[in-house]
Amino acid sequence: MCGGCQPPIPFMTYGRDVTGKRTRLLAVVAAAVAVAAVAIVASIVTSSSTDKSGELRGASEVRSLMRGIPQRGYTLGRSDAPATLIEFVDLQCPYCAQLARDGLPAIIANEVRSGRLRLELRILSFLGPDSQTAARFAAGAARQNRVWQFTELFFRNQGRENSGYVTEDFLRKVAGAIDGLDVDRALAFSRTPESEDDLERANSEARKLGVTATPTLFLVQGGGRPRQLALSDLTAEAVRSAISAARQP
Amino acid sequence: MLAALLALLGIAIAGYLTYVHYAGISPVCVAGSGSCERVQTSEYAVFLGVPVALLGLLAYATIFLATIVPHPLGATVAAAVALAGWLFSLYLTWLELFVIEAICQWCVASAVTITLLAATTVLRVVASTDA
Repeated sequence: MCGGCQPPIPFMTYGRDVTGKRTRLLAVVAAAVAVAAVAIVASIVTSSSTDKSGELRGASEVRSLMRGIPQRGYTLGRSDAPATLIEFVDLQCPYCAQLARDGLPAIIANEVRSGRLRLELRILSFLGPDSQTAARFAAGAARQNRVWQFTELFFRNQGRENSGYVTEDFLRKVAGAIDGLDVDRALAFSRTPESEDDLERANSEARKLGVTATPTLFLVQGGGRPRQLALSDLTAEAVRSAISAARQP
Repeated sequence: MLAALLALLGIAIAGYLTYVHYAGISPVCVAGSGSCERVQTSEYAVFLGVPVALLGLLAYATIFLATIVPHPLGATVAAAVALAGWLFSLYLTWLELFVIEAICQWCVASAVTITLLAATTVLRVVASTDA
């Protein structure tokens, strides 16, 4: 009898323990990497596309930004909000797009959603024919209380200025991502003279208030006259400080 | 025990950010220049229609349950979810620094928490014996 010999079985069991543990650890790492990779790819893909049509930027962001906030015509927010911000934009204007991306979401998610502020859009079209086509379609969207989704999405998908990119296909792609918007009806409206009336109204108000560039914002409080905001930047902080400054008597 | 506490901390942070998202308010922000808001309202803050904060809350809750429920697979599940969460939070941190270019202290706190959680849960799997 070999006193110093050990039966082989515990040794083999020890080997299986180590292998088992290593396999478990590998499985954990592999599963984690797989899940994380899928999530990261999905995040990248969906942050710059839509589930309704391909290659549209910001669709789900705009959807969740606007969800549940009342909209009537060109107004976003509650009608009993104590203050109104009037925003003059041209849909082809890159600075308006920057404001829409960087400055407005926080204001909409915060002040507008909680009923402290309401926003009113005035769409100008001085930059060129593509601006006019877009603005007339926006008028159609406004008739269906979806102009804010349309303009916010448009700003996130601007093409090269006046290159003729605002075609019917382009408008269908942008508008198609908006819940509750009848694209055919909006397109049909955009071809009527009535849609041009909206542009004329916005232009004449701009002339009256001395608006010469976009974006230009005015604060209206308690029935007072509109006070132009002096924006130092196109961020939410800059808009908020400009609002505070405009509130000073 | 440490893992459970870290998971609870994660639940608190992600829970607060989830509440902020649905209540339409700004998170309390030490940076003060709207950094937190910029991150929380960016297009990356929502994933397939679900707020990222809510996903984080669910992940932390899963890890917490996996660490306290005495199930043979508990440690494995906790480590897998924590590790996946850590990798995703690396991506989110990269977005903060290089894409959104704003830092939200709450996201940083969550990133630190998930890093520690990933380390502790994976070490638990490594250190566990079958005997």
